[in-house]
Amino acid sequence: MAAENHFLLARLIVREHGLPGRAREASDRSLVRLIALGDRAALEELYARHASALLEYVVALVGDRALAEELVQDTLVAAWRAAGRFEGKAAVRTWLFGIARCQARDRTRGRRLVVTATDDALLTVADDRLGPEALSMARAGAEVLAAKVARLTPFQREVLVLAFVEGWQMAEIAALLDVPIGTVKSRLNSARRALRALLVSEDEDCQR
Amino acid sequence: MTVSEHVAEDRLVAWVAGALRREEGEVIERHVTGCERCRVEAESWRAVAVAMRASAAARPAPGPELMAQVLRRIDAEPARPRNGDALRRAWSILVGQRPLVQRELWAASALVMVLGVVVVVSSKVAATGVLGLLAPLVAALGVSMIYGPEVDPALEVTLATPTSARAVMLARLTLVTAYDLALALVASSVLAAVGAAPTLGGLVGSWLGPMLLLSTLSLLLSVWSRPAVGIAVALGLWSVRVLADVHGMFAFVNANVVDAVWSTSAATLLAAAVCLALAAAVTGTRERLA
Repeated sequence: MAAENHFLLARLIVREHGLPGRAREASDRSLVRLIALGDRAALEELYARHASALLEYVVALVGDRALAEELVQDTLVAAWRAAGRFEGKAAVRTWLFGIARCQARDRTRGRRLVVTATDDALLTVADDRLGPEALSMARAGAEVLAAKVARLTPFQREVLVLAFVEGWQMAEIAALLDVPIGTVKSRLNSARRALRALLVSEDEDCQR
Repeated sequence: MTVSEHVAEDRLVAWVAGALRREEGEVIERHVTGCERCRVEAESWRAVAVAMRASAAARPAPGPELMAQVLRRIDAEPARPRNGDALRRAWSILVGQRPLVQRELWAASALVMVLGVVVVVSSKVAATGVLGLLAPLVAALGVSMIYGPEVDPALEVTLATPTSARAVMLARLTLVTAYDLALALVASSVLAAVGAAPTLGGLVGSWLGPMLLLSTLSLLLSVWSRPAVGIAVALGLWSVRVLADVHGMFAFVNANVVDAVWSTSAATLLAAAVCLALAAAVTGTRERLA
């Protein structure tokens, strides 16, 4: 049975490329069913599909690469244990990211998630003038931008990573965070304001 | 351009993130090119996207050692009973296949059997005649409808799962056959209880052998060729049997031979087993060719 599983799993992996979203989700679900039956190869395939995105997300949540890697490990071990209880109400990756979110929350309970320099004053910087900031943001180097992103709050980074790095639509983000879509929108906007404010403040620093 | 025509914020964000289908993206692109307000808004989001992707790209992807660590932790856990438990696995496949058998099959089979019982009770026709006629036919038509792209639109996805095609086919066969056996047994018990048949054993004997032979034969033809072929041959063979009983209908068919073929005997059970083995073998071959 094991050899047969591996043969079919190989075919599943080959076929998975270029599948439309729904078929991809169906094949993700097959993996979770196999994991529930104790199939390690299926867990490895689930890891291959989602680990990069998952790590990126957890880094956004906790702001620390080493801790994030540990949490991704915890998430996969938890998924291995919980696969039998996966009910299919949400998409597999929403389920997986949800586990990661709980792990991150449990691990960081009682202390501030990340050191963040973004204070309320920065958040309230007027943002009516869209053009110049957007342009200078686009011109800034990758490292400068990464340093700015690191100074956002976890909530802000979370929605930005989900929307722009993972390419999730707002409805799926809302399902993961268990909040209304309107809340996702307002968090995205507050994150954009904060990022822009960080950029402006640095420009002013340079001019001094 | 009115305000209501502006691109909704969630669409705009999804477009900038590249998460929209091409057609929808093109519609937004056309609007944004001509609309100053949406263009500025999109540029602002694009700057955010650039920053987020730049900060993501600065980090290397997780390596294989992370997964290796996960596997070590899993191995350190006490073995789960479901790990390699063949019975549990078979049960889970069986339960998983139930929703994929065409829903009408369950109701239609039950309806035919109920009608059969009603006919026997109300008209005093011999119970062995009616059940012996209906039970094998219901089962044969049922099993020829369980497997194949024509009768299962989800088969493509099912085959993409690591459960073997043969296991899927046998699971469905088990489900449908068990259901039809149960139906026929209930019908027989009811008829024996109301005195429509002398003995329950005799009544069961009138349909059991023919049911297994006709349904496995029909299954074999259905997986080897197409469900329609399985159904047609089952109907054809069954018509010959019925008409052979009508004296003189087929002078060239010896009614005694026909009755001997369609009875519950060691020979019919053996033939049914051979058909089943062949059907499983054919399904397995198809799977490798696919």
